[in-house]
Amino acid sequence: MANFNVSIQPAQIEYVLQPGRTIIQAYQIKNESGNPLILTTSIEAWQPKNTDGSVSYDNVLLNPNLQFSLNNSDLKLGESFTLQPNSERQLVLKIKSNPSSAPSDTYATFFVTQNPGQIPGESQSQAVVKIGSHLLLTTSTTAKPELKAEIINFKTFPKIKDIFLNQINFSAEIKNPTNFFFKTNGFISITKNNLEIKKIDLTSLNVLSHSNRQIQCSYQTDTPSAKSSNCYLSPPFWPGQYTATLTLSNNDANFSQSISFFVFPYAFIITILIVISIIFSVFYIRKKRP
Amino acid sequence: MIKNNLLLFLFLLIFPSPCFAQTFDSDSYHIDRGNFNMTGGKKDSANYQLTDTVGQNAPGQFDTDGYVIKSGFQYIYDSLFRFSFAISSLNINFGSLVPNVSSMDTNTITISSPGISGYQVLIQENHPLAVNSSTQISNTKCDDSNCTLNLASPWVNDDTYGFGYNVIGVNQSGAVTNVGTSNYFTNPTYFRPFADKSAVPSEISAVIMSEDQPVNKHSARITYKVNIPIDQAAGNYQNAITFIAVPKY
Repeated sequence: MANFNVSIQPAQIEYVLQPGRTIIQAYQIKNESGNPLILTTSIEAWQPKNTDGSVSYDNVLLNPNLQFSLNNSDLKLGESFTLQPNSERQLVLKIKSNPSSAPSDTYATFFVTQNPGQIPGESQSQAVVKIGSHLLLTTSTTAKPELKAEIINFKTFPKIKDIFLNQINFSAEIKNPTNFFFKTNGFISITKNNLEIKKIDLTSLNVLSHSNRQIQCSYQTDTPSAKSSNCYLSPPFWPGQYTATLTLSNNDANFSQSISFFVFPYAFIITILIVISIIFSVFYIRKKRP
Repeated sequence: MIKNNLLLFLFLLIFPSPCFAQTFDSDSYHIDRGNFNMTGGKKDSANYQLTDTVGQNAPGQFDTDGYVIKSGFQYIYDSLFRFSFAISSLNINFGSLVPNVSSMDTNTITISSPGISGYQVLIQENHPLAVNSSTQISNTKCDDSNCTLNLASPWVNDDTYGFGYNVIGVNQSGAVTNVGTSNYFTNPTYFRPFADKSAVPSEISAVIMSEDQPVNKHSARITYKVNIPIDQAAGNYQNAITFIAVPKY
């Protein structure tokens, strides 16, 4: 039975190119299935959707100031080619920007699409598969466009913070009001009585132009690579007031915001009160007995 | 001490050491490199596999307390895997459709995504299952008539008609884990209609599986279900379902 198993490398590229310049990117496409595949290539524009890195291809037009083509001598963009089982092919994408391009970002995907075969008789659906690699392209006259970021909705949860029972979570969105994407390089610093007790690194995520991105944090694990997850601080904590400061650093620009929260030994106090109540109840009942 | 430093300075000024670096120029680029790599990568034969780096300064593995450095292109294979997507079967066959008897078929998708942000898989049909433009099987609305392109609900009744799908995360053994799919389908009885590209306006591809972490070979089983009423016209109903697998940015 025909199946599909294709890999593409790299999964994403990010470039800054000057107006009028051309860049070349090589992709390795490998057919890891047991049958030959007929594939075509295409470029489709997208825009960010939600704050988690999702994309949407709905009604997005490709930047007319960028021309995409394949630099392969025997293949053009949009033409079909056959990839035999367990074989690999290099596709060389050429991206040329018009000299009159206005500084801005373009987001697109380089797709490799498997062409559907003939559908024989009987009721059935045929799977068509597209696997893509993203292109994040900044057209700019400077290598480091000016950055501007806003930190919004920086908060902690849960509202009731106990010294033992639960971890403290941090969430925030980074808003990018500019025409160029940047990365969430930075950290959350937690202090108590003006002493830093913990510094949590932010995961370096892309915040695209005129969009928001939810922060994530990096934690070291036993494996060589760090793990990215929601930002949190694990118990136990000393009771008292804490301050968390979120700092972003990019291209010598710093943006930060601080919030305060209070940790209280709720569970411990409630437990003591329950024990005292039980003791008093026992004494009261014994006293009442004739 | 000052006299020694001055002598050293004079010596270096008179007998400078050449710097063997690499410089490349073109109309569009100027590149300065510290070294010139002659070859590197993965090679194999019937009996051997070799990864190597030739020409780079100080290649190899260096260990110390708390740190391990792997220097050289060959070590890139230790940490990076490719963005890949697989489908176990491209043909989803319902056989002969019988009224009030659900026909189902399954296939399995498997994804690997090295990027720190994870991935998403989207799905869309070119048109409803159809013999021709006027003879179609409508997409399901599920038992409570509440399921939509992005909201699944149960479909278990034999008198609920239409075409829909369920996606549920599974492990290598096929056991249900719901990893990557729990945000979209509660359990295997929850279904959604396909986003219809031929609709006016065209319906946007819907996300069926996603995660926010790098993953290596995470799988999901897709169940396609079709049920027809007694008055459905006879014929071979067909369509194409497009899967789009991309990283998150």
